[in-house]
Amino acid sequence: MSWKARAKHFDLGLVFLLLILSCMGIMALWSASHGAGGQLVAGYALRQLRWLGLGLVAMGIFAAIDYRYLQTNAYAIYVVLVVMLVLVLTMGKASMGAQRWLTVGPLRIQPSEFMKIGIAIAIAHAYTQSWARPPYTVKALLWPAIITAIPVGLIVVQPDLGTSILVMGVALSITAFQGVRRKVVGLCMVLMLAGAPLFWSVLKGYQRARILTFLDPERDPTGAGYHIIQSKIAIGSGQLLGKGYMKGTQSHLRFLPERHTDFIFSVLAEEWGFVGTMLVLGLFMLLLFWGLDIAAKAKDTFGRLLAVGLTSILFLHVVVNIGMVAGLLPVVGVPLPLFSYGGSSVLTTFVIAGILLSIRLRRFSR
Amino acid sequence: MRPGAGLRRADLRIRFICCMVVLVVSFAGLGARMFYLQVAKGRSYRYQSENNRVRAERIVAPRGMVFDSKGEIFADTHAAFDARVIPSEVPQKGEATEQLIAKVAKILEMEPEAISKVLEGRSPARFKPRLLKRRLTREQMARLEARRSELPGFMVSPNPVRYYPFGAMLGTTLGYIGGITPKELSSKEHSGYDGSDYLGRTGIEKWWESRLRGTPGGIQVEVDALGRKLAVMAKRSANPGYNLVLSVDARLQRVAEEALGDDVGSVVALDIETGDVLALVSRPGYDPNVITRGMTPAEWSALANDPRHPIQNRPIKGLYSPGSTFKIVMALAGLDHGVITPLTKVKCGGALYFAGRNYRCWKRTGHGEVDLARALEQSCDVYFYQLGLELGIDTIHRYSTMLGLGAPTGIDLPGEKGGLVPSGAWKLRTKNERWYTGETLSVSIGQGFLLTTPLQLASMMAAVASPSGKRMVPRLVTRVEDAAGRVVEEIAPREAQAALNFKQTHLALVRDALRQVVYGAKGTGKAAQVEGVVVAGKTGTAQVVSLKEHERGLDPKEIEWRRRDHALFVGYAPFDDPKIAVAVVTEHGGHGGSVSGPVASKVIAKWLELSNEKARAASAAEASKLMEAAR
Repeated sequence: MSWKARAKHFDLGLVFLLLILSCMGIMALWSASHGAGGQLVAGYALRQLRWLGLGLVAMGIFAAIDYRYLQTNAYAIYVVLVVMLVLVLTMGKASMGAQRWLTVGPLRIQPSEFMKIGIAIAIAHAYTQSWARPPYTVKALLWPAIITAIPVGLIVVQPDLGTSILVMGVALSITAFQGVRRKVVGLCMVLMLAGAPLFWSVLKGYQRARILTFLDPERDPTGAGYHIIQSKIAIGSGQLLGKGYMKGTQSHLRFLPERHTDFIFSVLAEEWGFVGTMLVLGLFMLLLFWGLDIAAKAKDTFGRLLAVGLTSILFLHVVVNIGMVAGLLPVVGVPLPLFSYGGSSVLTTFVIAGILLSIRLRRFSR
Repeated sequence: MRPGAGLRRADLRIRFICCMVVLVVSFAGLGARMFYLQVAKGRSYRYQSENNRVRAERIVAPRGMVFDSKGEIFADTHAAFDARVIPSEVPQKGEATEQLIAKVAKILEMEPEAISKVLEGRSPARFKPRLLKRRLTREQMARLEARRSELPGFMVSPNPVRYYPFGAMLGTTLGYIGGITPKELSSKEHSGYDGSDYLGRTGIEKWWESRLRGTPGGIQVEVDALGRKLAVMAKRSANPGYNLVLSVDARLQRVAEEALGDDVGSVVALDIETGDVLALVSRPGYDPNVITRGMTPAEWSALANDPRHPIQNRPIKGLYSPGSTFKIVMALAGLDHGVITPLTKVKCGGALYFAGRNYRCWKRTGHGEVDLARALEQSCDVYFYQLGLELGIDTIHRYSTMLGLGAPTGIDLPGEKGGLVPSGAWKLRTKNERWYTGETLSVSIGQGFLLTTPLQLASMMAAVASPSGKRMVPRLVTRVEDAAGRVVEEIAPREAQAALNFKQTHLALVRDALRQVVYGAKGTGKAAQVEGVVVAGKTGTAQVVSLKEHERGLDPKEIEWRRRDHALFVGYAPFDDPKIAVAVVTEHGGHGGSVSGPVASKVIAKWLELSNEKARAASAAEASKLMEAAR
């Protein structure tokens, strides 16, 4: 197909949706960067704009690449990412008590972020290649389970609980989409119950504290428990219409922790009120439906599973992040796509969008 | 492509419908939560945000105590109170604020500007209490408490302070604590600290900071506009710091401190078998109570600039030429390396002529023909000059290092110095000059570039005396206990890495000679004798400056204090069952034997008394048990 013919199929709607969300994100960040006296604390919003520019370029590149190249190189991509995760552990730079970064020249890479996409590609490929038909038996699930466990284990020991749960969630989403036998579901439950103590034992102190604090906020009244309470006050105090842009008091008086990253949604909720939160939730829902639509219309099984996996990444981020700031889920440190400050998160989101666009573009080609 | 993963159209339909259901249900859940928080409960949250008076306060953890080996308290905590302020609760209304600050300034006897400065800035967070003034007097406390309704944001909070019941005794080793500085507060390793916290600054307080500190608790309280507590929303108690048990015995320590009297210097007593520090004296010292209480800059600079260096912990930081005490190392090196035998004799005519210069013996008239035993007993310099020439500097370096000189001993105190054992390579590296053989002669009698700490000398003495031949790492803290007295950690005795492999015959010869130093007719260390036990040891006199011709041979008391030689004595006891090793360095004391020897003698005598007491108590217990059994 010619470039011209292909351009006709280019999904402008998805790009438009992403841009609207990005703009709202920048606005929220801009507000979060201002202190009580109105002075600019840090140029988070400006730096985020730069990342958005880079993200758009990355999206273009991935949209231009035929997603079937990803399939032919699925395991190669996977292996490279696993090697990077190992390197992070052996020579990565520790920051805030966790080793997540890999420094390559001037760049600081967080391989675990990209592993989310890597696992979606690898799992989608694994099921496409599988001899078995869904619903799957335990035997058929063995190989996907192994390729999921390796990166999850490597990320848990970094330690980065949020990302490891996400990687596992992506693999589970694709698997659930394909379907498994009832017996497998039962077995999983038994294994989870049995594995819980082991999982608990590899967690770092602060991770355990967060989970315990979630179960019982009184445990840590000055630390994580305080964050949750303050976040809830911020969201709730927005009421129906919000306090008005740049007029949030919770965030500007610095009651709110990590308001540029994990708790950015609380800033937005405080200033834009219920109307604002509904708008953002609605836009995210539209984005996710869009992803499902791309999956439904994909030309082949790999494309479909990949689109489902990528959509699930976005879904998990949105639900876990908002659930966490609203006090529904433990504080595990998952960013809100396009809103939370952070280069890796922005790049991941746009790469996902790029691949989705690529699947969309090539739905008629053969 | 294999057909395995393919699904029929109908199957796919169901799956996408399921996906949409999951999506819609999840988002409906989030939406419902938002509705609950923002619409249903919105008004209450809005009120809370406008009157955000949920205070997060810390509960200070009491610092762990320090005990001596018999349970005497060396460091304790006492109740004290700080004034603190929450900037976000102080009204920001220009003149009214100024008046408020003026009121507080008057109560606390502070400058209003100092209070305004505390209120500035946004780090730490403005809703968290900041330190205003430490250690309020009773009156300040009462006045601030009484007028709290007029002073929103200001408060009194408990913050226990350190108390050292023994005052200056063991002071330099215990160290002291001080308030954390803003710079430290923002550093990563102090991430768990608060602006009002104290921090171990030196000594045991610093080395064991993480154990002594404990874990602060927290309390979340709802307060009204006047700062009165309405309700406790959540609480986590503080965990007190761990207590430390020292190897030091306060009774022996006291005798050692007094033995040195007003002289400047160090006393170190080590348990030969375990490396336990039984006494560690640095004179003059300081009273950590005074420093912890807070000093004015003038007081501090007077202390820091005192020419007698009271803040220096001499046993681990003072560097001295070991003088003739180094001859112990030389003797063992010579025997072990095979350049001398016990029968090797050297003729001492009062000096050794070498490379166009006379290297003098301390005894101008000479010692005549001496063998090793006699050379040690009478501390003949010429014998050791000759031995040094045979060994060469690098062999001397090797044996010195083996006996722990030239490197920190590894005691659990910060800032221990390693001293210096020179070698050819060292000289080339640091001075870019080759080693001259003449310099070996100086080193052979413990002078020249050679520098040691009193602790190293005691440790060397212990290693030479040790029946097991082991050199132990000196330890101060033997046990860490929690507040209830349960043992958290036992610090096991640790062997220093380099193992000693001297022949028993060589060791016996040197030890016999050291006994002769104290008991021989011409021994230099007779003043170290103790009734009831046989002591062995070695005296040393270390030149500080080379004396002018007219000063030589004068009584030390007639020479200017700062120009007098340092007096050293190292020794151990009992001779036939070595238990305690002692090193005494008296700065500018003159002769080692006559000045430092008696100090060691007093320490060993007290040690003997204490261990006899212990033995008596043990045998009395044994006897009563036997009696009981007989009955």
